[in-house]
Amino acid sequence: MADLWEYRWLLLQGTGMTLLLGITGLVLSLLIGLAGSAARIGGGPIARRIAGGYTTFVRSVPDLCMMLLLFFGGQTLMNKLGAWTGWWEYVEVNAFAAGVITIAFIFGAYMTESFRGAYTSIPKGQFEAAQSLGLTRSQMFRHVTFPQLMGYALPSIGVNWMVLLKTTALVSVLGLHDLVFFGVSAGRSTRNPFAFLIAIMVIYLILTALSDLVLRALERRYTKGRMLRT
Amino acid sequence: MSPDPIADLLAAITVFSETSAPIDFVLILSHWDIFLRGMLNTVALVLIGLSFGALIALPMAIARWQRTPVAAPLVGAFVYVFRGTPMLVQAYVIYYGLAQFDWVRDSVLWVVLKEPWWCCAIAFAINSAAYQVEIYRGGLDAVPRGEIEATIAMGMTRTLALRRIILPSALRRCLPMIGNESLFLLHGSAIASMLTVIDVLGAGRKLNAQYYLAYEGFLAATVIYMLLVWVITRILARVERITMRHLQPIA
Amino acid sequence: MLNRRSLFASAAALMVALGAQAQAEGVLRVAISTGYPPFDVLNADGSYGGFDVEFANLICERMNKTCEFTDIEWDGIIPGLLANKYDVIIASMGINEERMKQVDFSEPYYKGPSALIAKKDAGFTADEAGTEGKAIGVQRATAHECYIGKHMAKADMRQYATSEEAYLDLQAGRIDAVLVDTIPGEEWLKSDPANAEAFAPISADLYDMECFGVGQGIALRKGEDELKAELNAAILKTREDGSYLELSNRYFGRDIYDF
Repeated sequence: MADLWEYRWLLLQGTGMTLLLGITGLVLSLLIGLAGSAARIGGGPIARRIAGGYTTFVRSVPDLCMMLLLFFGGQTLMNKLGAWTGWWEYVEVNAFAAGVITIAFIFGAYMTESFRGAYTSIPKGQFEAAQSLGLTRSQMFRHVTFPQLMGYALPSIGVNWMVLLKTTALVSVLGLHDLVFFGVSAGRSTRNPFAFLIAIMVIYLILTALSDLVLRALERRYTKGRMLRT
Repeated sequence: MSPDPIADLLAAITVFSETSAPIDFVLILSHWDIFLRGMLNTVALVLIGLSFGALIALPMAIARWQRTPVAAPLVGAFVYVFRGTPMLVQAYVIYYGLAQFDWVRDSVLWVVLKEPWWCCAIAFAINSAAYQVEIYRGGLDAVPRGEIEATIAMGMTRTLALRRIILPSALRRCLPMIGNESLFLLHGSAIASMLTVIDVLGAGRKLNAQYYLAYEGFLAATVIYMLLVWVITRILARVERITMRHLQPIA
Repeated sequence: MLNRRSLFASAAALMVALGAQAQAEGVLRVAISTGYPPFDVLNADGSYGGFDVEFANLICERMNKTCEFTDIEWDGIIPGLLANKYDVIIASMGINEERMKQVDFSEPYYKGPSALIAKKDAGFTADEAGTEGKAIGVQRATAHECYIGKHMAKADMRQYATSEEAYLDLQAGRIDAVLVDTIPGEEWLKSDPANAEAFAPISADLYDMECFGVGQGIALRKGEDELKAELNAAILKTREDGSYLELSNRYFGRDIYDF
C-alpha cells in the first residue's frame, strides 16, 4: 500500500489521461456515427457501400493492431501524402492523436449501428407530423429526430462507452501516459506489479460505476417524453 | 535471352519491392514462417479461450439463472469485475502480478503460469467466461415457460430437464451471440504479443523490430486478421444455418 | 443535409487540432525510452531522469538549445525518428549495421559490451550449444536479437517491450537468462542485494561488431549532416569541459566513454 501511496499522483494523472482519451474518443465517435448512419440511411449507393465497407473493416481488425498501424504507419503515410500533394509539410501523429483517432474510427462504426437502429425505432408518424407542421429539414432534425434518436440510441451508446473506456488501455502500448502505462511502469520500478495492477482494475471499476450513474440520469432525461405519452 | 527468365523475373520483383514499391512485400513474404506460426498461435489461443471459457461460464450461468443463493451474487461480482476492466490489465495481473509471489512460484500452478502461452490462454478463458455467462443466462431466460413447464409435467428431474430440454434450447438461441463473442475474443487476442507470445500481431512486431520498420509487419498482420475474420464469419454462418434449420420456413 | 456537412467539417478540424504541433525554434526534440535504468528512467513524479537524459541536457546546453523529451516504446523509436516525431534519439542506441541502413549516428558517446545474465548456478555456457532450448529474454528491436540469431540460434528468444520486464521474468524464473548491455546489467545486479546474490553474468563480455557495432551513439535522420556535426562538436565539448566525466563518475564511478 505504501508503494501505491507514493505513486498516487501518477495514478491520478494517468486516470485523467484515460478519461480525456475516452471522452474525446466518445465525442468523435458519436460524430462519425451520426455521419455514418446518415450515409447508410439517406446516402446514395456509393455512400452506403463505403459505410458498409467501413463497418466490415472495423469488425475484421483488432483494435491494437489498427492502433499500431496508424501510430507508426499513419504518420509516414501522412507525411508522404503531404510531400506528394504539397498541401502540408509535416503532421504529427502523436500517441494521443493515434489513440483517439483509432478509438473514434473503431467506435464510430459501432455508433453508426447504434444510430441506425435507433433511427428505425422512431415512429414514422413523427416525421409526417413534423412535415405537416411545415418544419424545415434542419428544424426537424433538431427538434424531432435528434432528441428521439438519442433516447433510442442511449442504451447502446452506453454499452459502447463501457467498451471504449476499456479500449483506452491499449494506448499504453504506444507509450501514452494513461492509467495503465503509469500503473505498469510504477509496478516495474517498485517490483510490486500486483498491487498496481489491482489498483488499476479498481479504478476502472469506479469509472464504470460512475458512467452507469450518468447514463441512467441521461436515459431518464431523453426518454421522458416517451414515458409521459404511454 | 537469359538462360533462366523466371529467376530474372524474381530478381526484378525483389528489386522493385525493395526500392520502388511502397511496402517491401517480398520481405514480408520471405518471412511467411513467423506469420504462419503467429496465425496458429492466435487460432489456438482463441479456440482454447472460447472453449475453456464456455466450460467455466455454463455452470455459472445456470447458477445465476436459478438464482442459487451465494453462488449467484458471486457470479454477478465475477462478471462485473471481468467485464468492467480491460483484458490487457487482467492478462498483466496473471502474467506479471502473480509471478511476484514466492508461494505462486513454488506451487503446482507455476507449471502453467511459467509459460506465457498458458497465461494468455487463462486470461482469454476467464475474460471470455465473464461475457459468456451473460450470453448463456440470456439464452436460458429466453427459453419459453411452456417448455420448462412441460418438463415438469413429464416428471423430469431438474438436471435431466436442463440437460435434455432447457440447455439445448437455450444454447441454440445463444449461437449468434457466441459467434460475436468469438470475433471479440479474436480482437482481444492481439494483446498476446504483450506477453512475449508470437501471435499474428507478435509476428508483425517481430518483423518490424528485426528490420527497424515502421508498419510493414502491422500491415501484414492486418491482412491476416481480415482473412481470419472472413473465415470465421463463413463458418459461423454455416453452423447457424444447420442448427437453426428447424426454425426456417419450409420452402 | 446541412448538418452532415458541418459535422464532417468540425470532425476534421478537431483531428487537425489534435495532431498539429508547432515546432519551436531553439528546441531539440529528443527521444528516450524509459524502463532502462540507470539510463532512461521515469521518476515517481512523472519527470525523466537517468544518464541519457542528463547527457542529452548537456548536449542541448552546448548547442544553445533546450531538450524536449519524448518517451517512446523502444520498438517504435526508429520509426518515430524517420517519421519526424523528434530530431534525435539519445537512448543508449548501439551503432550497428542494420540500423545504419535506416538512420545516421553521431560518434559514440559511450561504449559497453553485452553480457548474458543468469542464475549463478545456471550451469550453461553462453554459446550456441550451451543455450540450446534455454529461454533468453531480450528487449525487442535491440542488437541483442541480432546476437542471439547469430550466436545462440537454438535458444528460445523471448522479446520484451523493456528490459525491466525481462528482469521481472528472470527473477520469476520464467526465463533462464537475459541478454543485456553490461553496464545497465551490472547496475541492475547492484540495485538489490537479492539480485547480486542470485544472479551474475555467466559469460565474459560479449562483443560482435556486426550486431553491437562500435558503441552507443545519438541517432538522427540521414542527410542531416549539419545537425550531425553540431552533435559531434557538442559531445567533444562535454569531454573537454569535464561535464561528461562528472556525470559518468556520478552514475558509474568511472568513465564509460571508452572501454
